[in-house]
Amino acid sequence: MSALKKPRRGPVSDFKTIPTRSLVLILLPTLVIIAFFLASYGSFIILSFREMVPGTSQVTGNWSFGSYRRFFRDTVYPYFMFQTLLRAAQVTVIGLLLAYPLAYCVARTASKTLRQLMMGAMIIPLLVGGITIVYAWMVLLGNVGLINTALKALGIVKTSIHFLYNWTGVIICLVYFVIPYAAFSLIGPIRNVPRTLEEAAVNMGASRLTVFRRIVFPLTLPGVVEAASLTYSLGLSAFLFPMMLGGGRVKMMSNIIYETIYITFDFPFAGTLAAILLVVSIFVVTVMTRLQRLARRVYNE
Amino acid sequence: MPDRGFDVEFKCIRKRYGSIEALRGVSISIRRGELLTLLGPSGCGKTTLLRTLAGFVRPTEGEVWLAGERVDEVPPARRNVGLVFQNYSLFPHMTVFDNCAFGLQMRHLDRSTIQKRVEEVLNLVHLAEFSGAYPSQLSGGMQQRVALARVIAIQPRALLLDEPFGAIDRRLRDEMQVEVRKLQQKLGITTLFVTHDQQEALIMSDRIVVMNEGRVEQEGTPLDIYDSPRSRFVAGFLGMENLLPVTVVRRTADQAIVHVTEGPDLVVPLRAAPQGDHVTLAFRAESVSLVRREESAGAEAGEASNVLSVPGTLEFLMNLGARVVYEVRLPDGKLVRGEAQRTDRTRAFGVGEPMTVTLKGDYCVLLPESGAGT
Amino acid sequence: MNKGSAPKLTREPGALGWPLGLMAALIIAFLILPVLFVIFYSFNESAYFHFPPTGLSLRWYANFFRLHYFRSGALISLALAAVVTPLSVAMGVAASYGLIRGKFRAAAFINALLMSPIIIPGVVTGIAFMTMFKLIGFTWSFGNLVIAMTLICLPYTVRTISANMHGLNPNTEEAAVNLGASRWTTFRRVVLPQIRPGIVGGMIFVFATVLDDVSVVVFLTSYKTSTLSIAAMGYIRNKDDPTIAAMATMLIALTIVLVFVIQRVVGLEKFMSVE
Repeated sequence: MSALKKPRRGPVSDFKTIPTRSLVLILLPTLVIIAFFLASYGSFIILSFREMVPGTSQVTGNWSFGSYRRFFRDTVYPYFMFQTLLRAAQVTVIGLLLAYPLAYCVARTASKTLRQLMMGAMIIPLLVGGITIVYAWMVLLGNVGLINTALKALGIVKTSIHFLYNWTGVIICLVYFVIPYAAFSLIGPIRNVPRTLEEAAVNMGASRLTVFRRIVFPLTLPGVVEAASLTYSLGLSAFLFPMMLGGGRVKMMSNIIYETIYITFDFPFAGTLAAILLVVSIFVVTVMTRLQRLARRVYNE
Repeated sequence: MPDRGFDVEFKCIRKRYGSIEALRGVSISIRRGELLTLLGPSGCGKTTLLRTLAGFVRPTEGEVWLAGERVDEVPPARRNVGLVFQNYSLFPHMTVFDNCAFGLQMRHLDRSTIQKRVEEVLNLVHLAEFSGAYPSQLSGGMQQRVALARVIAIQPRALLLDEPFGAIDRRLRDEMQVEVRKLQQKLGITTLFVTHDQQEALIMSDRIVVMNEGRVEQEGTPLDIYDSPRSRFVAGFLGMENLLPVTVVRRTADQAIVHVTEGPDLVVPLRAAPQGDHVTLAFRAESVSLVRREESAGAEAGEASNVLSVPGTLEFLMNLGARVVYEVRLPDGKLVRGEAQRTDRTRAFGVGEPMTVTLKGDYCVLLPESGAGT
Repeated sequence: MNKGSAPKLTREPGALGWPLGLMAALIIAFLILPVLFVIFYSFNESAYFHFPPTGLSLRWYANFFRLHYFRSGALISLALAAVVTPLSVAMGVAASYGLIRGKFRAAAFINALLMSPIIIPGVVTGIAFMTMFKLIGFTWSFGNLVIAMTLICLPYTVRTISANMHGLNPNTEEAAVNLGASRWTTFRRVVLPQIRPGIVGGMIFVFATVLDDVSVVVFLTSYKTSTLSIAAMGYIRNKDDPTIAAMATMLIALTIVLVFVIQRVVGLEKFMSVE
């Protein structure tokens, strides 16, 4: 038998669906664009360490931490950052509170048509886009808009409620925007809770509220954290809604960055702000992912 | 040099994945038109060996020969063997017809030839009326028949079946086993069949190779393997429930006398010859018979013979419809498992009662004390 | 069917307790109301909101098409979508196939990098590209938009196509090879047809994103090259007549058509990955 053994002619590997050479070729465009986008982030981070020639829109060749010092010294900037974080949290909480019952109904409805109708209603705001949403709410919430007109006609108020040009309208609109994302994200985790568990709890005498509180919600907790993460990211990124519905009085981080470029022309500082927002966003997502893993371990198995 | 008459040959196949050896020097030959089954538990390497023939696994060492040619370097698309998977793997977006035509299209045959050939194979598996259907519209058994038709269409040099009936429910499985076997014999295709189900192997095969942990344990006809396992592993895998440690008192050319328990010794034919004085006596539950002590003739004292009757206590009894299974405890502590038809006599058995167990030496096999892999 | 006190949880939402059903209905109404309102308002005769409306008219639609910056914006946006969609989809298919069937250890990491634009605020991405393009001197506005949008949309296409591809039985690809197919033929005839739903789903996300994005493109548009969304944004800041409602209604109609397409080709549930 040993006479038949041949010396090995190099590494022996099984048949691969994609041989290495082809793999590099296939992934090349993707890798190129990833490299480009990483370089782009690098470029503005580098920019944030530069200085502006005063009075012009030229960038000098000096390196400095000036922009960063300015961010922390001018307390207004940390304030805006903090406010952005807070408001995003507000949107997340309200959004989840509204999205969960919706997701639960879609997940547990037996009728397929009803489910599809509900999902259709949820997907339209999602696909139709920011401009449409912003415009709709601007007209709805205006002083002579539909809501105020209706409220006055019904005698509930005498003068118009000022929804626009303050945080109220912005929050309403943001919540409106995030509900479909949060709801779709929650449907899967809710579905994964076997109905039989709920039935068993009812069978043992639990009220519906108890069933939710002690069985359904804990088991969907990882999903809730993931939905919260998604919603919070959307909140942090808010740009169009605060700009349009806030009328200059409501500023979230993205708006500050925009103004720094288009009003102050301070590119390095804009880079600084963007870099800080980037870091905060990544940090938040990382924290949320950890929380999600924790929730999964605590409540499952 | 290729041996004439062997369609498929594995020569000293070794396969290593990192530090794990999936195959440790396996050599098997399959004759033309033969259905050879690789039988063994999961992880024994049978699927790896099958996939080596298919070309998806490249052996670390050794050679693979197909129809007189060495095919190690031939890529899987060119080997012209037909692989049938456990989960059918029909193309879900193609009709039955298109599925079967696929291999022929790869060979660039013209449309009318393809049409004819596909109709032929669909007729062979009795699914001609379904040629326009999609796999999702067919039952599991039907899908598997299409999978079979699909590979037969290309007229492969060998047929490779990887646990093809695993996903099919029990009742249908028996029918399909017979159907596939008949088809294989009719077409005379050399076939390599992989399964972990000993029943299936016994039904379908011309020859069986029992594998364990990357090695060949035993090779032979179904009856050979069934009646004369040569190791504890093969005996256990093929359902020989009784493996009693006994001592050899004396050997002759074709027989051995073994001391089983208190009482006379048993004469056992010597088929393979495990060395040493301490061996394992292996026998099937079916070859044991049981009567109540009071009904048996008095215990035979004296000489060794090829029938052994010993007293024991009935410890366990279960009715399984037409059969009963039971366990009897011998005075020295050994446990004997038996099986019998359910009769009026067995209905009278009661757990805890004294019984007499009878064993026929001709139905026993001697195995090494602890076989490889047990 | 066992009668008796079997819990009624398994039937309609009404049985779950009418409060829950009512809540869900109210929330759905909340979601739909603005959409319906915009459609209704687009036909408003007067430039302001009155209830009851003074009359119905199509003048705002006419106005939309009359204004050159909307016409040019619409054209640019559609052209952008026409270019970005195939680019994004092609790269999405390649990336998904390479990452899923390539079976190498860095695949998860590369996948995470690919998905990251979703969690990064649009403004940050906009600034990143603006700075980069200025740095390398690539000032062709439309080109900037194409590259930036392709990157933003890539996570969507990769997500839908990957989800589709994960559900594929890898044995079918082996079966094809066994029957004599080359790797390319296997991809073309076995993999590609099966990921069509993922591709369509991805296309729809891309289309919606390109038409809608503001926070990224606002840093990349120029006076001559402006997208529909930016043109609309500019218009809203100055005037609030129903012209935008007309534009929005057309977008809503388009969205409804897309939703039907989704339902036919993919199924709404699979599209939003809720199965």
